[in-house]
Amino acid sequence: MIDNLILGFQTAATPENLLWCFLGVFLGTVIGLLPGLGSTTGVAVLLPLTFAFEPVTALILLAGIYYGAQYGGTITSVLIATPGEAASVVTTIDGYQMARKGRGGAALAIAAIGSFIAAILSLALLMTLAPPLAQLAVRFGPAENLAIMILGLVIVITFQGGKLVRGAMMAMVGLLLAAVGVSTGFGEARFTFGDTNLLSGIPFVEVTIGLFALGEVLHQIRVGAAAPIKTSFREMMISGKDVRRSLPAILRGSGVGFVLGILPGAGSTLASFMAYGIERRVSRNKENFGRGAIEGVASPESANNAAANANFIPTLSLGIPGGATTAVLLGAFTIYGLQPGPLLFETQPALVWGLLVSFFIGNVVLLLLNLPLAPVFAQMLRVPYGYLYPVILLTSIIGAYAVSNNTFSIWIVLVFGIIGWIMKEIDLPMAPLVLGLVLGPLLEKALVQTSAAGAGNLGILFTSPISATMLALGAALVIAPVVIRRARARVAARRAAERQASSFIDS
Amino acid sequence: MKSPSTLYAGSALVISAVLLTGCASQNSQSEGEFAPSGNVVVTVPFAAGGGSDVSGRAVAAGLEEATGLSITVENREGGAGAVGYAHFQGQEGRDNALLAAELALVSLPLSQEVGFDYTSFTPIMNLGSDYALLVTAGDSEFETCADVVEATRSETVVTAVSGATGIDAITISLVEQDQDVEFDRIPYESGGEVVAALLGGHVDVAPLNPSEVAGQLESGDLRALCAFSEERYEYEQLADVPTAAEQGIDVAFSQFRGFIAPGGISDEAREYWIAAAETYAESDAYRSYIEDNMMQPNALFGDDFVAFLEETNADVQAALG
Amino acid sequence: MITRRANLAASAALALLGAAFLAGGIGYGVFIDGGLVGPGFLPAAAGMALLVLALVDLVQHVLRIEGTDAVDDALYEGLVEDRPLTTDMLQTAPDVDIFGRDQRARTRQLIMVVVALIVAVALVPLIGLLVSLGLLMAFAAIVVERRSVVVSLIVTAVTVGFLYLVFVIVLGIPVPVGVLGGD
Repeated sequence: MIDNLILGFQTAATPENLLWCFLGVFLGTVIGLLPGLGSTTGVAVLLPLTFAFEPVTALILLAGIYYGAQYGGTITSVLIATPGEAASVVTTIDGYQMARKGRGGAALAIAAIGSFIAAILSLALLMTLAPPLAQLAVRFGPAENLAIMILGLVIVITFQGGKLVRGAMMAMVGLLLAAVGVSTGFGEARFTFGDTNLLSGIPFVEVTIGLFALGEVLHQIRVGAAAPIKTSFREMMISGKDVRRSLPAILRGSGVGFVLGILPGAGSTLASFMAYGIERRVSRNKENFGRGAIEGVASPESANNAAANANFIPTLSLGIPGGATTAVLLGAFTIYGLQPGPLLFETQPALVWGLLVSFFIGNVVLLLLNLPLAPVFAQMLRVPYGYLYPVILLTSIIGAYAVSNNTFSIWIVLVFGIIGWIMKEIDLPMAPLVLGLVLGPLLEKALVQTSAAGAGNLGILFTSPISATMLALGAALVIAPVVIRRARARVAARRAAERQASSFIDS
Repeated sequence: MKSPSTLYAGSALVISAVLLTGCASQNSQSEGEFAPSGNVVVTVPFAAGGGSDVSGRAVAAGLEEATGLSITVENREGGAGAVGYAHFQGQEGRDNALLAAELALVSLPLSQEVGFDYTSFTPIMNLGSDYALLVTAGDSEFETCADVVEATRSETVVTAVSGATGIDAITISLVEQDQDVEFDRIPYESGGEVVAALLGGHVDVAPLNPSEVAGQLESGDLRALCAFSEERYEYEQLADVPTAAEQGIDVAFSQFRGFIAPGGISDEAREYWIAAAETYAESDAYRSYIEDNMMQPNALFGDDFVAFLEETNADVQAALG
Repeated sequence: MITRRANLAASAALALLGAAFLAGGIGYGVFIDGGLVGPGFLPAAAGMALLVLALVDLVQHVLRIEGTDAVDDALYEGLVEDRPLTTDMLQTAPDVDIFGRDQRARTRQLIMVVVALIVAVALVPLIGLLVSLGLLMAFAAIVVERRSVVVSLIVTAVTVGFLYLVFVIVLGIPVPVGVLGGD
């Protein structure tokens, strides 16, 4: 194993390859910065460029583009509340608040550091444990997948600051929007009213751009032009204290991300949402969540990166790509004669190790390039809002158009921009809506499969130990506040001192 | 280790491509006046990791080589292919869109209301035929397809089908008709997912294309019980797999794989893509695609492909009864 | 007061949405042969849940009942003074912003931007995407925000040029040029 690693580094870590990796990270970041263009597009568009290279160089360049594009999406989430893809939606919650407080540089830096640590940990686990973990992951059948998605939705509903009912409402709206279009598993067109644009469903990226980017712009106009954020360069920098505070969040996020990333289909979106939800519950600093807690950026960013890497476990050892980007990369491997499957690690050690080492290098380069650049990017916010928001309007609309080259996308952005603004005005949470929309088709597929497996009986949900445990956990999360409130009221009736103690224990 | 020429070619490529991809794709065709506008997108109506995905990516790479265009692949899975085809229907008249087609093109319109059939599109090229194997887990008790059929008479046998009306479902239906038995079916969205379901023990058996299970068959995690083909495979790895007919099940059914353009495109665009397909069919990339995926080559273009689709349509109609 | 009325309206609208999907879901068939989940199951189930939840929310607003908080809030009680803030509570609008514009002026700006957006998108087939959005941007900066004309035009030109370079030249995305742009 060590031999393999050394071999991998010897072939991959040449100065020339490092140069290409730098270029890849830079190009990827630029692509990721544009709304609507995420890592999948980035890799897909630049893939043909790599065909002229030797396999190892090509893989390194691709890894650089992949990680760079993901990070580019994080930058826009933090600075202008425009997540580039589903996995960075949660980052917006605290990241954007940090930016508004003049700590955008620190938010971007911790995202880079968290991603880096998560990547290193998950790659180490991937290298040592891929085949056995892949065997474990296939034990997750339809019922278990259904249960984990329900748990994911419950976690997101309960971590919202507002009322439980309103979070649940928005999750349902998300699921309903996901039901528009030709249905998974049935092939029947639903709620399309004869419009061909709606057949393929309400497009997710456009909805996110509308809700977050346009919704935020309209909201800002309404609440009045905020003064440009002027902070000293020093405040933009991340401090040692920030890193120390975030470290537990990064480790927890990496763990959550890794576990969810192994499961084919669950993916990095669910991982980032769950990691944030869990962090919000266990963090020592929980009262700051939603108002710019650095842990609220560190944890989902670590989770989505760990999940993206863990995604390669089913991809490499079973040949089952977990997501769109891994599928594109798989396409690249096959060009180099790589047949993913259980024997891959034995038959193609040079390429597999070259690939894993190139991921490692991609992450190192990302950190080296972006840590110094984070405060520079954050300077963007010094532009007066009167100039900034027209630019955001223009960029996000063209980005939305570019997703599918269709004017229909622009109307979606417009409609959801207005909906997003209304939701902000009356304080309806957006995160459950987004997760509902993303999970809807997956959830329905698992539901149909579970129903077919049980011949119409969904009882397997409660008899499978894994899914029963997850559902019980979900139920506990909903009931807990009531129980805690009751308990607290009783204690309060006795003595003040005791109340203090009880709150302390509850936390 | 690296030759200077690679470095040159590489740097020239990145720099020029970043600045000029758009221009290059508009200027570098050799087939006369016409060229598709902008990036070409190949839609794959199934999830990543299945046979359809593999063929879509092979077509994209092959045509990229044949035309010098920049061609990307987009998975639009769901509804057993209906989501992807419906999306593609919305691309009517676009000369820069292609779709990796297979049996669903014919079987979906025959089995449900989808608002399209194969005449709604412009067929360009048929690549070849792909037969299915009945596959089970390595530690399964089944040794032959006859065992499986026998078992369905006394107990529940769960089979995965990727797509409710795809080749898997049709093959299973044909077995059910031929043997007068019934399977329980769980729908999945791609061969990749079906492999995971077999490995995890969520289904007992599944019909899969050879390319989807080659790695697992070699490692012994999965076993092929029989092939639903007229004759045994000539490919070495599969030569030992008996046909279903040898085991007393008279079922042989193949699915085609090819690619189509949207309906309503100009004649120039159709000619352009057919010419590109003919170049691709002569290339090593095409041959290695067919061999790597253990398919039977059957390159047909334009009108010949349409005639082939008409025949297939009649066959599927008969099979679905 | 406005917020309260808006809340009531939103809850009522969501209840209607839920009811519509419930009805639609039943129309598509909640169950199919053999008691299996059908194409209408998820829309009907989620629609019904939305209907119930929205009605609960509506009743809570009408009766001014404090609803059950999400789990975190319950944990915070007694720990910290205030509840965790949602995005809005941070930006409680001052009555007059740094440019001395009051609430009414800002609402007028908002309406102008929304109308301009709709007009701009509607103009895309006529004058093309980039031109139309460029005009929108200049309008927002010069007319709505009353920024310096020269700087606004420069910012607009640079942005449009950059996006043209990236999307049209590099990525080769065919943006609509409109009837004026020719073909």
